[in-house]
Amino acid sequence: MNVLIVVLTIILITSVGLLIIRSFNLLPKKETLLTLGCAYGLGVGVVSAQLALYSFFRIPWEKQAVLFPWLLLVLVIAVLKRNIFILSTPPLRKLQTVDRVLVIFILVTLGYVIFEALLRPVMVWDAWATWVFNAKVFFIDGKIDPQTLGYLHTDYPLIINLLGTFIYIMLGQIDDTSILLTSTAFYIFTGITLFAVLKDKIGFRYALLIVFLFATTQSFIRQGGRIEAGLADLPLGYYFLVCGILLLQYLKTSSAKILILLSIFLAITGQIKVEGVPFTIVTGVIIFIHIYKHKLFHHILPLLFWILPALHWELVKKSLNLGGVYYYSHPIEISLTKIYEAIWGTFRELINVKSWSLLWITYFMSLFFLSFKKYHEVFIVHILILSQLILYILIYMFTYGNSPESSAQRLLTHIAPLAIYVVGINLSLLDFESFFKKSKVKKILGI
Amino acid sequence: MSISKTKKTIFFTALLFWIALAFFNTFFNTVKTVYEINDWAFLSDTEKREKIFGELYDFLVFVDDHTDDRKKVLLYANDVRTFYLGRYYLYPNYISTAKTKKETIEQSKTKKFQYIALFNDSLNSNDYKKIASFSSQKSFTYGTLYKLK
Repeated sequence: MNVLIVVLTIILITSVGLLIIRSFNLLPKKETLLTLGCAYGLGVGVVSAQLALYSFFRIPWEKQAVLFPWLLLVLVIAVLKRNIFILSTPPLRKLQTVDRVLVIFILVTLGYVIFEALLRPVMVWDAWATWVFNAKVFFIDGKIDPQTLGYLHTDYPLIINLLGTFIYIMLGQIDDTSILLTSTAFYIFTGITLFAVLKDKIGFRYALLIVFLFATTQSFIRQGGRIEAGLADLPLGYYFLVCGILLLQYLKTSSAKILILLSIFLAITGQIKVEGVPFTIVTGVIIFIHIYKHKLFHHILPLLFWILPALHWELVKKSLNLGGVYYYSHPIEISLTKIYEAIWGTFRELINVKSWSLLWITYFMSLFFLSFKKYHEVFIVHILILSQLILYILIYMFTYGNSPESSAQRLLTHIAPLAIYVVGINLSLLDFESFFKKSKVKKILGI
Repeated sequence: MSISKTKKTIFFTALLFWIALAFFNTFFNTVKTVYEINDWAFLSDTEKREKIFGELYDFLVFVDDHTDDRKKVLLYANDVRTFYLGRYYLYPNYISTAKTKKETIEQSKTKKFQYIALFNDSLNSNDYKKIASFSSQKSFTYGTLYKLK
């Protein structure tokens, strides 16, 4: 029964995001799948903000009080904008054998991930030490108690914690097995988002292929459900992907509505994990350069929205003396051994076929094989990925207590969805279709 | 600038290997599911947690059952895992940790904690009385819980 309630809650959260995007036309109406892909992430940010606001205004976290605004929103929109509920989809094309095989294998893998998520209670360290623990604390307290934040002694932002608390409120109890379905939801919506953006660029079949490669990568399977569910790394990877895609759309169209949605997602991304903040800064700088180049100065105000939640959280941390928890436990340390281990350890993880298959190998091939002058869009995504990767390597090099062995696999999860996107784009840029037709593989497979 | 045929061949060959690996992974994971069902599906929730966390889980449940809520508990834990797991399973009690027996004894003299819990150890203190003992049914693991007098 708890599983059903969690699934319905995830649908509710997605519906909230969907309603907001469609009500304000933040994405073009024809982008149904992308809207769906973004809806869950937006909904997560919104319901977490709802709980934070309720706590601030001392509104009890009763189930009815939490649900009421969303039911009211649905009612109002049902009266005023009935057609919002109509999700137009292009006509489904007839699936060829290859497509059917890919769909079946994706569904089999998804089934396995869901099964694994529900098989065991939360078991990965960081989940019961931080993410799922904080969700439990807020649920038991019925609010965000500043004194408890001091006891938690963490300076990590609260969105993932509050997502867990929202689930517990809907359940009316703590269930640290069913809650892991929220990780599976991030796994699913990352796949949907990848498919949505790639099918128009590289075609239906190759988009399906890329989703298959994403779904079967062991690191995503682990964080989506098997053993490592409950962490915040795959969610951050999802948000990096959505922000990257919205950034490319904004750079292409200079649409103010896309910028507003991007700004909201950047605000959420900065509040998932501390590692999200540098990514949002790099993205913000790219946007600012675009605004300056095209003299879109009226876009600066919607852009700045992203900074507000981050500023607010910094003020809260300062007032509670939580600031610097991370830096206190990881002071600067410089040694040649650490520099060597940082580079070598990260490289070993990048070629770790067990965790990543050939994701990073193909990604770096595409990095070195394509001319950036000609493929501007891919260049922007490379900046996002490489700036974050270099930052992680620098942290390994110059801070105490951090090493690739302990965390590289999780940190690479942040930028891996974007890397898969790049590999997908390269299928069309490097003309995989022609290569595949000319190669003997097609003949051997009989397709 | 056109991309050389060699580069394309290398990239696509790598991609084809990745695709082959992905199909293999699916078969592997599906077969693994059968073993996972065998190992986990028929266990109760408590048995699953014992399998993951060992007898430490049973000890923490024991402490939770014998303590009132919202109290300060000193947990003698010479590893970080015990502290964080204790924090998770014992909330809304507030857990502090002592890493050594000597530290536990010194902390007990401050009388800041309503309870002191020791896993595989015991305490002699004039300020705390023993209120419960934990004994594992599967091994010689034991634990003791003390309350401030």
